[in-house]
Amino acid sequence: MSALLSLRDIGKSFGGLAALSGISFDVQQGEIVGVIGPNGAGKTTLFNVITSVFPPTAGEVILDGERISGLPPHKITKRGITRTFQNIRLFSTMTVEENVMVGRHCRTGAGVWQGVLHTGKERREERGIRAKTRELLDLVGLSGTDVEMAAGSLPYGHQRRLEIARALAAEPRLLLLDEPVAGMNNAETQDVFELIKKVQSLGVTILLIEHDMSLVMKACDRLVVFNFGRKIAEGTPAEVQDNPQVIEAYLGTEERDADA
Amino acid sequence: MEWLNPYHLQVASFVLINAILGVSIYVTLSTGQLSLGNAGFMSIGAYTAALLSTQHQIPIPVGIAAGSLLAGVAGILVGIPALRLSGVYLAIATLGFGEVLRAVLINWESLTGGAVGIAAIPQMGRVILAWASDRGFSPESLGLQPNQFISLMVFTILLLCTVLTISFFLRLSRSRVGRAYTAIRLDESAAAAAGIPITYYKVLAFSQGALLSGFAGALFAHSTSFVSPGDFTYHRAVEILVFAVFGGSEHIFGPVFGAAFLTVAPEALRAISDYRYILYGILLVAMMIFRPQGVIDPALLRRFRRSAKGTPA
Amino acid sequence: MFLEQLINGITQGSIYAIVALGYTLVFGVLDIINMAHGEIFMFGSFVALLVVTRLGASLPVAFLAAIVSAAVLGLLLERVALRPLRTRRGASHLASMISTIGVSILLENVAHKLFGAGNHLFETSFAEISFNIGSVTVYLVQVVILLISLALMAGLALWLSRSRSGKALRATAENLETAGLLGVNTNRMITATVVIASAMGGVAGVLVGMAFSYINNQMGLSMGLKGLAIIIFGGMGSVYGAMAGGLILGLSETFMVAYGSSGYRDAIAFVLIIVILLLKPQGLFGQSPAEARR
Repeated sequence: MSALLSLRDIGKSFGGLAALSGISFDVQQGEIVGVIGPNGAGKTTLFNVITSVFPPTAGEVILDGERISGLPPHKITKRGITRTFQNIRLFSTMTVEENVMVGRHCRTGAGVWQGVLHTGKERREERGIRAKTRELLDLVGLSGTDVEMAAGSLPYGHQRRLEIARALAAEPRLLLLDEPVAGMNNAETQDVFELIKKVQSLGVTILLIEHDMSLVMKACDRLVVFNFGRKIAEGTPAEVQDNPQVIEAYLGTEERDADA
Repeated sequence: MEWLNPYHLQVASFVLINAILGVSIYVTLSTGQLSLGNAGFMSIGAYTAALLSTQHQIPIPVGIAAGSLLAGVAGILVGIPALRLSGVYLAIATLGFGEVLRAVLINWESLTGGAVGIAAIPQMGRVILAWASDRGFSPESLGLQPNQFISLMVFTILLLCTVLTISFFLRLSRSRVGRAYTAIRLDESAAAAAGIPITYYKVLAFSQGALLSGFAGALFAHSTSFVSPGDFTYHRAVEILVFAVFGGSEHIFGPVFGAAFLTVAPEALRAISDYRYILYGILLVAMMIFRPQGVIDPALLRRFRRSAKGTPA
Repeated sequence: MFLEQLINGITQGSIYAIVALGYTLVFGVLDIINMAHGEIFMFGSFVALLVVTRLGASLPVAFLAAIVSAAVLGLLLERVALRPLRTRRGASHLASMISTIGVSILLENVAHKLFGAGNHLFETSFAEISFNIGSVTVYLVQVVILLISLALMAGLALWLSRSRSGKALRATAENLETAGLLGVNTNRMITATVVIASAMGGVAGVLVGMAFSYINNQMGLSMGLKGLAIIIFGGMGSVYGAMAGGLILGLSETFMVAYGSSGYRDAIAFVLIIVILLLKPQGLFGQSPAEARR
């Protein structure tokens, strides 16, 4: 079976600095793949290349057999890839509800005139959007929240969940999560773990950047390890855990430790 | 009907035209684009309407529609390259566009009449009076003098246009397109990642703003009967900016309030009308320091609505 | 004839360059466009005129008066309109620009009240003196303007590259936070920058009076917009860009008036803006977005 997402020799340079080089791996439909590595290893840059925040300087991103590198970001969303951000980028002065409704944009179609004239079709569409929004807020565990609240005034953990709800509103096939449990305690992390598993059970494939090793080991079917913009290991969590290069990347070699 | 003073009606008419101009800058601002070129788009609408009606005897409504559409098309032509610019660069480039346009208006004398402008543009009120008189109507039958009737007609037409404009864009702001606009304004990258085609909506908003400015310009031409390049200077562009900055840049009622307040105040307070631009200057600085979102902001409106419903704020 | 137009263009261009330098200094340090710069330039010009006509002062004193008054206006601008916005959390660059637009309208209309509309004669005692180099007639005024402009530009360039305070300014322009951490009093640096930029505007004001013999209270607007065009064309924050851009605009305008249609002279600046924004938005000497620190 061919992969849902295929990264072929992806490179990304900024001026003289190579943030990514020679990145190749596949993500199969239905998996949860973890992308791990020290800070600055290029993980978020990879997400940015996949979602076309900027194009790769080398290589291709292939989604379900179709080359998507170079398409504008909204078209990639429409083809089924959505994401959350490392430092939460909600529309903070829009309401909770509106944030999720915006996520639904590419699956709906009411234009200027339909919106202004409030046609029957538009009304039905809006009702549908609101219903789906409620459904998603339920799914991520925000059903008790006042949907009219400004998104920016939600507590931190709820904001992260709202961002996931917004990303799910576009009915993605592939969801990119960038450090979804950063700054969370064990209980909150466990909640997010369960949410991730629930999302997987709905048929969504997940690519996950995280530093929280317990979450990564529990949730991920496979891991890809980055360091200095290169892939240094790939495999199941158990395989990767014992890989000496991975250990060196995170902890440094014994000689270096002795000098510290 | 002694109280129906043509002078008051004229001020009210300017309030309405300024309100439409305020909405025009608001629409582009709602996607995060500050355009200082609306005086230029206004001149396109005004001159198109003026030329069509004076030189080609095109009926007024057609001329107004043509002027607005032409301004809207100009908006698309300016809006597309403007995508590469943001913030300060965009503001200055649009200002530059307005000034280039004005230079063309002054120098292309064969078309535009140069610095002298175009006079004797059919005035909406007068045209209606003439049409009605031909059918045996006389303003005295309503207890009105001819000039009262004329001013009242102009005011009524402008009121209709303004109400339609505000309703249109209010509805738009609450719809799917409106949400897209707001998302783009708040965080363009995140909006793109959420599936919103940024280019399409930014150019759309830009051309909508331009079309509205052209609409206001055409209405202006048919209300005052005379246009010249001096009506569309940098000062006009700044005035429109002040409506939005002072009145409120985050809700459509903001620039409407700003236009109303700042058009009426200098008239009501004769003493300050001489110093109106000095006041604008101070107002801009003060607003930026103390209340950058303007007087009317969504929070204020929410409090208004709650107290109107009787619930505690 | 051509050479005389060339000299005209260079003279004009050097005045433009000085005005543009004022914009570029402020942009480099504060990342904002001071839309009031043109009006400060205009004010300086009128103060110089008043000092000469009412107090019978000499030209050097007029320069001093222009510099001082412009510097004071710059100081007030920075303290009243700009600094409060820096401390305010979340104030955008656009807000600062809008604030300076407010100040510019204020100054323009105060000038209207104080100095009256219309053209005012600006007499330079040696305006008639000229000499011939071959077939070319050169006016002493032009030479003086050129010398003063060059001295000012050279002085600025030297100060920025050699002196301690100049380097501190460049550091502040490069990265405000880091400069502060390294011990630069950034507030004082910012104030000094605005003051110096404004003072340069004042000098330009006197030079314009000398060059054209007439000044009016609308010239702040047109000079201001042209100065903007120059720095956008040359690259915002680039000293060389301001100088090159000023020269190019001065020459273009002069030749347009001499050989083309004079009515479109003022539009050249805006055509330059539009062209450069379409071809190379960061300006001739500007950094490309990927390398810019922003």
